Amino acid sequence: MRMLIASRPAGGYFTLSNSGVQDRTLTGASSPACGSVMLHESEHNGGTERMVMVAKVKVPAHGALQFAPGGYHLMCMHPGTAMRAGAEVPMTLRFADGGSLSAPFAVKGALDK
Amino acid sequence: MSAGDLSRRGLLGAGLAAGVLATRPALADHGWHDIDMQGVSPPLSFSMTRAGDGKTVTETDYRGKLVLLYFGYTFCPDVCPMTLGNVARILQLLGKQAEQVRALFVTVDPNRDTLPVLKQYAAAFAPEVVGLRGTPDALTALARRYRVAFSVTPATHTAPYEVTHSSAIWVFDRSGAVRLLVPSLASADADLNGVAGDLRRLLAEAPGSGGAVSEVLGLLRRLI
Repeated sequence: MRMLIASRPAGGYFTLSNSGVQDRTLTGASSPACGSVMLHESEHNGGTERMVMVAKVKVPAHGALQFAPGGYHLMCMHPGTAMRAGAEVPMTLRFADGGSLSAPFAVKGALDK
Repeated sequence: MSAGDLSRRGLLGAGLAAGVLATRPALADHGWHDIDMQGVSPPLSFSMTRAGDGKTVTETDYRGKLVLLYFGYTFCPDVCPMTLGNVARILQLLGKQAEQVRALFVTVDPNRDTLPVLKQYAAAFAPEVVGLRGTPDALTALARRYRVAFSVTPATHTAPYEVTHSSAIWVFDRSGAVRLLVPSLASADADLNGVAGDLRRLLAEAPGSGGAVSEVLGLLRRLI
């Protein structure tokens, strides 16, 4: 998670591997540290930047899905006090088949790698 | 025009009217890492509120500093932090010389970006990053001056609040003359050393020398 200031959304990034034989579809995420979480994508179009909401993203079978700066990102809408650089926050990713996956996400500051 | 020029033009796309680059002077120096815009666009001019202290500032407050100009907004958790983070890293590469540089972060979303929030957001990156908030007229005038596209579309029942903005960063020398265009720093592998090298070169110029050349070029263009 990239935490900037408390009153503005924080971005979240991760790589999700799918070792299974079936595609999975990511449909949402949640974290008690975020209020609500949305899936977003940054679009670059001829020198112009735009951010769009995304309803679902495929995680291909025997493949991986990357949420990385400049592309897909989690939008942590209301970062709470747990969201501070150096900390870890729990994040749960939800899938179309009803499954979910939880993992701790490291929180970084504006300039941390 | 070289292949390099063509690919850069492709990157710029709709963010700039094609005419800007078509009128690029033949004298353009190709030794720069970024795009040489000397004499192509008008010198820096604006009047906006500085988030850090609430003062109304203009281009004259930044005479003597190199100025980087970037348009964004604070409800932007991905592209703007990546860009401003890279600006801050470039400032770190400059070491003590960073003191002679200011990065002006102009919000394209002044309705939501209050001064306190803009101040905090800019400060998260570096002390040289300055948040600026203008009236809608002042913002439109500055964006138009540098052919920077932006739009703000408030939320409706079916669509979220949407903001578009340019990825470009304009570089002005210490006299306020336009010098370079960095098409984008919104990438994890942006060439920060290349940009820092350009800034060092501008800082090594005698104050005002580039601006004088720029004025001559501008005069030539008006005569042609």
